[in-house]
Amino acid sequence: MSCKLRDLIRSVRQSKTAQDERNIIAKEAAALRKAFKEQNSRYRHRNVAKLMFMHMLGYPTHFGQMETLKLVASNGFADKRVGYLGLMLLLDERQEVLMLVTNSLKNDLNSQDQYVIGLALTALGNICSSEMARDLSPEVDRLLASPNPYIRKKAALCARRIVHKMPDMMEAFVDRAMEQLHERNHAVVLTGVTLMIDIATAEKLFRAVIAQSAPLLCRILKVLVSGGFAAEYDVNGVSDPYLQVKILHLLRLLSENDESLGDSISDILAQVATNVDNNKPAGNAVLYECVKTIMAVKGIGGLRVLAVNTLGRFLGYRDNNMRYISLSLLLNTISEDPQAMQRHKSVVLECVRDDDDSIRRKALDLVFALVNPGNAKEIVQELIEYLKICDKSFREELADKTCILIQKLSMDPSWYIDSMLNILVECGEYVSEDACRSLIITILNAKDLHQYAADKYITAWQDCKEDSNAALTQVSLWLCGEYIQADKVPVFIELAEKVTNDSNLPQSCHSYALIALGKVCARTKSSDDREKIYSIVSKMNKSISIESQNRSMEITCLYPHKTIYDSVFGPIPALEGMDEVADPASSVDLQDQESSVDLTKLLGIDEATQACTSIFEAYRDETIKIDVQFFDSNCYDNSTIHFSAKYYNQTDATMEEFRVQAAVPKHMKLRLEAASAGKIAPHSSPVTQKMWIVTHGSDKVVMKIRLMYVSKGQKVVKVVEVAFPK
Amino acid sequence: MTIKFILLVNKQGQTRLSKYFDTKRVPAAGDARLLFEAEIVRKCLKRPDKDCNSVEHCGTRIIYRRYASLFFMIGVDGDDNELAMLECIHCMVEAMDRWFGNVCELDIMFSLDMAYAIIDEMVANGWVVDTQKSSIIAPLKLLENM
Repeated sequence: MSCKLRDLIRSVRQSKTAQDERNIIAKEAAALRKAFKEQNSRYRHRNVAKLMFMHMLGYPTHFGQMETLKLVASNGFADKRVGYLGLMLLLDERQEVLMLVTNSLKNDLNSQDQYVIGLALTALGNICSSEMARDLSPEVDRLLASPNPYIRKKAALCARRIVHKMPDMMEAFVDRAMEQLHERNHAVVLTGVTLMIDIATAEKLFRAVIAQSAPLLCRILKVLVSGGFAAEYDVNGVSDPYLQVKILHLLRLLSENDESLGDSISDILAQVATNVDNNKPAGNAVLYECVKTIMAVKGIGGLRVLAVNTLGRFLGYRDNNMRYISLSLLLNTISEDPQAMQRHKSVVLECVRDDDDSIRRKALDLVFALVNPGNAKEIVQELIEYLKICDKSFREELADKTCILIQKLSMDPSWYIDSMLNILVECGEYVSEDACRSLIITILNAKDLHQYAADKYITAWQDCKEDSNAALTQVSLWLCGEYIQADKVPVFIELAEKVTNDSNLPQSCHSYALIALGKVCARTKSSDDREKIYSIVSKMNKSISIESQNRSMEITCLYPHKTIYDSVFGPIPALEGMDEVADPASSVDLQDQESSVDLTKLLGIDEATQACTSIFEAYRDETIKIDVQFFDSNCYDNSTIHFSAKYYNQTDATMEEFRVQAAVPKHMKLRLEAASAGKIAPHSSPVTQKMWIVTHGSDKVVMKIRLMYVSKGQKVVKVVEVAFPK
Repeated sequence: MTIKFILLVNKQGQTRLSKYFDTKRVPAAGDARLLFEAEIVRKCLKRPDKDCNSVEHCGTRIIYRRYASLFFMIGVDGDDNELAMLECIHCMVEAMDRWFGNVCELDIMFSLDMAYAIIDEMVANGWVVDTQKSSIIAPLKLLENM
């Protein structure tokens, strides 16, 4: 009944279909459930191992959690091992059953056997929750001071998790961490440095404390770099690259804002940068970290040149990994020194064409950062060239980014128009609506280029073989509608008719086509053309799509009224100030733009009528002042008064629990909104309350207000009568 | 430089070993996890051999390397040193090699608990503990003798 783990794995491997596998697992799960119910302790560890295997494959395994806990509490090392492994895999810190383990963990942490302690520490380090951290931190603290390096290294990583869960313990652990540096065992030093990195990242205040051990760190680094450490830590000739990388990382964190520290570590950085063997990948890892550190530290000018040169060298390697990391690093550091980066521009542009997808994307990001008005033209040219030959998966992103670039840096409208034409022709299906719209607006504003643009686009459109190039079709339709010359009209009518009949194109194309036809109809002199256009448009009167039907009906209805028709379809004037579109690449707040359209002017609402007008003082005495501010929206209803009452506190004490009740004469109606606050601070901004009174035309409007509040611990009630002027 | 997860996947896309350290940002259970693993594996598997060893997916960077028929993947977050992670993967592989003697995929599959033990000795809670192979192997010898 109870098969070995190996047999289970073997049978799962041999199953030919997914259904087969599910059956096997289901059967085994049922057997496991039965075994757990029977409390079979002999095979428990085997059963839990099978449970873990099933969990890895993705099946639900909650029924086995209690068994895992029992295994943890057992005495045998093998059982404990499987139990802790199960604990780490099957549970996470959010489960409540974890609390039950705390006692066993405590016992194990106090045991004599270093491996049992190690097991407990590893498990604790992986999944402890904040309560467990609080309970067990004294044990961990004690173990951090133990002489056994095996225990110490694990305790350090456990401490890291505790520090995460309970930040107030950080202080105690900082000192312990610094003590770890004095050990000879690399692993202990490594974990000590890790703990310090973590504390330094989480809590900047401790950086100053940790910085005290900086000289010791430098010394360790120096010994490592000059070689001559134990052979077992050696990786391909570089001694313990992990420790070197970690120490460099810590030094970077510590000296980020600390210039004096930066100076003192500069010579060790220089030593590392020159001595490390960069033919081996391990050496390159250390060099990379070193360059990162140099870049992050302020104030070492000479070293920075060395770092940039190293980066340039990395870029030249044929190994894709090196190129990738150098691109990443360049991206991070470009803000510091844009001039130096320009040197690498050609290499980066080449990387955009690379076969490797990750490198392409990084290179594209970098190009974005590198571009400035000076080199924009050639970069965009290169990108467009590449667009023609790159493969489909990358095209969309490339087209998108290129459009954004062109938009951002277009000073010269004719160049803008030409480049956009290129892109539209190549991959119109990937160009966004926004880009099309801003293109149209730019052409609209560039008066002298109207004919030029129209001609080019119409020719391109005619030659375009792909039917589904919606973007190009749209822009060309619009241009034709506005600027077409008389001789091209018949051709245009034919093309537009094709568009209206083509159901592959999106709805917006149909709409553009109809409007363009309408415009041309207004401007052409030949009545044949007009008849033809009218017949095409009226066919769309019965179209299924509401948008098309709407437009065609409008055109056909207006058609008989010649003068109105002509003025409706007259040429559009240049739109000032509407040529900025929200740029996804830069976070421009639309409301910030000075050129935003003033909605109120468009709708003709007079500004005065919007704002609140008169204020009159309704009541005043030594404790309270009431002001009434009218909203003049009486335009729709002359018998209603809409106003806001403002209560000012004239005393020196805060008015708490402020409440208002109001009443009006019987023939009127009153409506109150809740007051803006229940407390009025002395001599400061008032509490407001909106009210409506329906007067039914009466002249004399009076209102009684009862105010209740607590001031200086005493309840106050005030009744006030307010008479409205008019 | 926190490690978010370690994943061993074979060329057909079957998970051979998985260990998740950061369960808040990476789904660690059930269907979400399977989906997540499948997407990552698809991305890595379709890259040709000479491409660079890191892939980005939903904010995590995955650094991988192929050893015979197995892909070793380590998921890290932002500020990491890729090359150091690659060395870490290599250290793991060497440790397993020393323990199992000429390790292959079947060894890992059938002695899953030992493989997990090796990884636990090397990496804890997302950070590298020890890279010295002798001290990684020592407790395992003890376990074997029991």
